[in-house]
Amino acid sequence: MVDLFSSLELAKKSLLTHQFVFHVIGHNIANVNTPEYSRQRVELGVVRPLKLGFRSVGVGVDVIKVHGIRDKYLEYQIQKELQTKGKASSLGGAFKIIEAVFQEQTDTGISKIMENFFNSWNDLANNPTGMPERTTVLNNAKVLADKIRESYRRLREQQAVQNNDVALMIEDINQLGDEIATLNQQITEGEVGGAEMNDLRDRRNKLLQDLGEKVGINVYENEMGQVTVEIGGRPFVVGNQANHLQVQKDASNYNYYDVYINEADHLVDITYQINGGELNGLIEMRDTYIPEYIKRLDNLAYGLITNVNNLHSTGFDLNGNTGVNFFTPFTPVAPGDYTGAAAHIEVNPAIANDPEAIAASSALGEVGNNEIALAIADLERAYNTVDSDNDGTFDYGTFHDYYHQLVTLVGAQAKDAYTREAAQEEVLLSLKDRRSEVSSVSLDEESATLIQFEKAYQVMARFMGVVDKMADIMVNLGR
Amino acid sequence: MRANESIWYRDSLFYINLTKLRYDEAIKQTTSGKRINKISDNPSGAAFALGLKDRRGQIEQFLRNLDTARIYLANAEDVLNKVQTVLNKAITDASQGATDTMDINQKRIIANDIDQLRSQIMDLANTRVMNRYLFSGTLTDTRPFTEVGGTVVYNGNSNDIDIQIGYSIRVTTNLPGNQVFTNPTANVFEVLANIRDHLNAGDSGAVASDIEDLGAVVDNIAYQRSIIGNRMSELDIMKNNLKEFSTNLQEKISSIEDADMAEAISNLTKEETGLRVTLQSVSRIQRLTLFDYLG
Repeated sequence: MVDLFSSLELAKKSLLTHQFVFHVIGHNIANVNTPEYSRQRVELGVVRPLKLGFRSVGVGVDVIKVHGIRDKYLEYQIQKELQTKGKASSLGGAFKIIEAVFQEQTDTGISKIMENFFNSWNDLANNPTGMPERTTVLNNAKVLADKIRESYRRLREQQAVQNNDVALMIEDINQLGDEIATLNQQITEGEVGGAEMNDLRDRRNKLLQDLGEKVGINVYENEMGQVTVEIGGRPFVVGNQANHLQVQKDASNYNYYDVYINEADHLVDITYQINGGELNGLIEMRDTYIPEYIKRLDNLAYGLITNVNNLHSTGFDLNGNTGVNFFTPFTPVAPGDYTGAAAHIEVNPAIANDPEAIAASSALGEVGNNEIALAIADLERAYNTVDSDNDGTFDYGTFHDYYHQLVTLVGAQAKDAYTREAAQEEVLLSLKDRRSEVSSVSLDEESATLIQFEKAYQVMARFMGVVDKMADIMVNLGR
Repeated sequence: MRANESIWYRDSLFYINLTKLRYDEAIKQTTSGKRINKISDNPSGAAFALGLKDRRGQIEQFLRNLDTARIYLANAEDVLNKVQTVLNKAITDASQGATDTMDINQKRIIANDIDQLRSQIMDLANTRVMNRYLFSGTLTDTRPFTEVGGTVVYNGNSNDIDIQIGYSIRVTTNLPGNQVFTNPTANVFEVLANIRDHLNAGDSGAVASDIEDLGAVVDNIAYQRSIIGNRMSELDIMKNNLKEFSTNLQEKISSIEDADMAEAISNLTKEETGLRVTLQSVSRIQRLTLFDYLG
């Protein structure tokens, strides 16, 4: 038969179980504002009944498991979308600075300055012997050359910033890798008995999302609850081990950093295997976007230098000299390769401080002759002045059209990056909302559960009182 | 579907941020008066506006060139006008001198007058404008006419000086002096020198035939003056065209770049109201939970 002590035992166990549930509710409420927290539910079960002869007798309730309520697929999606967001916001941030280099809404852009330069040749054609006109040509040429070099320099500076950020980013990534590896170990150890390490898993999910935002990753979970993280298709975190990333200078790319992964004592270059995340954005901006803008600036600068020089060197200055270049000439690195032209452009120092040395005349001694000045002014509207496809021949024009094309390119790519960034915010918002629907703590829900269990707890406490009374009666039976 | 606090707070924050960004954009448009404030606002529009601005800049340059051309041509016309006056006086004087009733002393006085007139024309032919000789071709720093041994020699050349006044339109701003004054068929200095010498010699017959030569000179000057007149009317037509073109360009640039102020301001008001409503609703709505009712 069931004795009173079994009932007392049952009551005690039930009260303890309920206290455990209160504790979990408290834990849930305490984490109502923890973003990565997944609400936990206590799974209760009937304790294995006692067998008494032909009858089985229940002996109450016990905690079977504490579940974290989470949707693995949603977590995976959030982590993937964060990779896209990381890249988009990295590009977007850089474009805010790049865009300003090509800002033409004020009158200080290359386009306007180029126009001023050619206009001053027209003014010189109007008065070929005029000193003010000659001085203005030199001034405007200097402003133009300075502006092109300045734009170039700002692009290169941004490139260097991107590069520095690559190195900094790698340190963050390694640290996250170490933490994930540690959590892997703790989770496996903790879950050996079948328990769920909910809080550690939440923490690891958070770290994986942080990591994904920084660098594109693939994540696989094994049956032991450990995650393997791959970067660029190479193992980054395996079990409790993280293969650190490191940077090395690439001599063929201005000594910018290449990214290597340290795999069992040998290094694998994954610079261009990384797909997604801020690191991908940094590298793409550094090695794809900015170099294209610089190349076009170089093409423009080379076109200006060479075309102006070709005309100017055939002309005669006020002192009868001829064969002098207007800009310091630039020799292409190879046919069609004008790397460095934008950094190089400057007014030939031989004439920079000597207005009389400008060759406006096409004939010796004809100081009123303005043919060269007219021809240089005409370059502004001339076709085939820029080598746009880098094949060694001038095939594109005008200078203005070429430059406007560059401005449009920068603007469109910047706009694209901003749009992606904003769209990604929205995607993430809705994903996070869906995650919250599943996993976040609802205070209402917790309140309801609390009331429910409080009632049961009160009644069980009463039950215990009744058992106590019965025991009391039994003890005093003989008196 | 489970609704809970975190969704609500996150969404509120997102929409406050979004409304603020739009409000910010609306402020930029109204304060700058521009629809395009950075190239990414409208990349192709920004580049198109740049192209139009460059053309407007070129046209303004053409207009400046045109004004310069006008100064040279107007001065040349003024000189030729004065030359015509002088020549008319020379014809009158020479005609008096050609009559036989006049004695040799009177003829010599007239010869002296003619010589004076010749010097005046010489001065006019050597006119300088803005430090540049008008009639020496491209040798603008060279005095075009000097007298060597009683003969006037031309030191300039026959080259034109052109100025750009439109896309592939140039106008010549000078007349080389050898075409105006020392023209082989109508050399003003030679004809006047002949008249002077023939008057001094009292050769009325020769003077009469010289007067015919002088007629050819007058015709030539009138012809040269008409060339300048034609160029100047071309300038006037061109100027009107360019100004019209420039105005059209400006209108196009405005239509791309400039914000419609009425629209921008009403937009700003709308965004401001939106932001206010969003903030108010977020701050005012107290999210109620079951906890509020638990005793």
